[in-house]
Amino acid sequence: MSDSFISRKDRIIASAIEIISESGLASLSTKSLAMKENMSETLIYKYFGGINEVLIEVVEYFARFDRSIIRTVQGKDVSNVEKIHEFFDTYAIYYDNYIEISAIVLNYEELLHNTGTREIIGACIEERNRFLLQLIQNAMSDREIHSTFSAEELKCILMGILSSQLLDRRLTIHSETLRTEVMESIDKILMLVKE
Amino acid sequence: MKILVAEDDAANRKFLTKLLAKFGDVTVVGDGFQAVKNYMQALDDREPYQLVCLDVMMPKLDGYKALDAIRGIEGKYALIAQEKAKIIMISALDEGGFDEEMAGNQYDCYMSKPIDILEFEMNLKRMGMI
Repeated sequence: MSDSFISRKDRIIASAIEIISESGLASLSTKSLAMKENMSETLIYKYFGGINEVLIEVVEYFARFDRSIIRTVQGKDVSNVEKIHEFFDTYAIYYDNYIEISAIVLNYEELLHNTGTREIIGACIEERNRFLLQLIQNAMSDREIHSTFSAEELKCILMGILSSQLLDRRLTIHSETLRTEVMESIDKILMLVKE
Repeated sequence: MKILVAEDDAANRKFLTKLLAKFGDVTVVGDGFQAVKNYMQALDDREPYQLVCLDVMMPKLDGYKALDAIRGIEGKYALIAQEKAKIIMISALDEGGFDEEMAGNQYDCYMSKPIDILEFEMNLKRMGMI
């Protein structure tokens, strides 16, 4: 009964994320959503114009969290290297507790081919990369880290760690949390490039 | 006092549990959906929570929406002011980053992470919880 106090739209979005995570993007339909939400298919149309609208909301939801992370890290009064650490730490905590949402970023390519989600997911990933790149460039110009790698290379290495760990977790069970594993690798890399 | 903590960061969960254990029974959940469910269940069991700590950035249902839902439940149960839970919103955002408009006037206090123990206790006193 507590569900009725959570907006139906929010519940539909959460169910859509679960469906995408469990069975893939192609499985998301008004039918699968109706089954999961135990409601009629026609009722879905009361809240969304169609399945594409649901998908757009899912990606918006995903992008909102990214913006929150960036705002949070931006506001921290710490060094650039510490901000880079915080950036990954916040993502890792979030994905640890909501592994289903990682299916959205791992479906990046597919979402780019959908005209409704292309701009949102593209802007979100671009913003995420631009922000990290800026932090690395700031750390370099403030001589917190040296330039063995270019800022772009370092950004790719760090992002690569998060992406590959996420992919790996969708295949195998790990005894350690995502946060522990990701942050161990991120901190090792940061230690290597620290001045 | 019964306390509900909704927080997705394990370290903060541990910290808040330890900090709040001296004031009452602490239940910890990791997402907004679970927080709303627990709150409702406690009311149904006639063992309501007096204090709720909601992290703003939570999986599935964020803190703002969980706050809305909890206040909605209290409205539905026609709770009088004294029966309603005191709600502390917690986030890693500084006060400027916290969206007061989204939270409306439904929360009792806001605290940014890392939680300062003295400030936390002061807020509990101010709200008449201790």
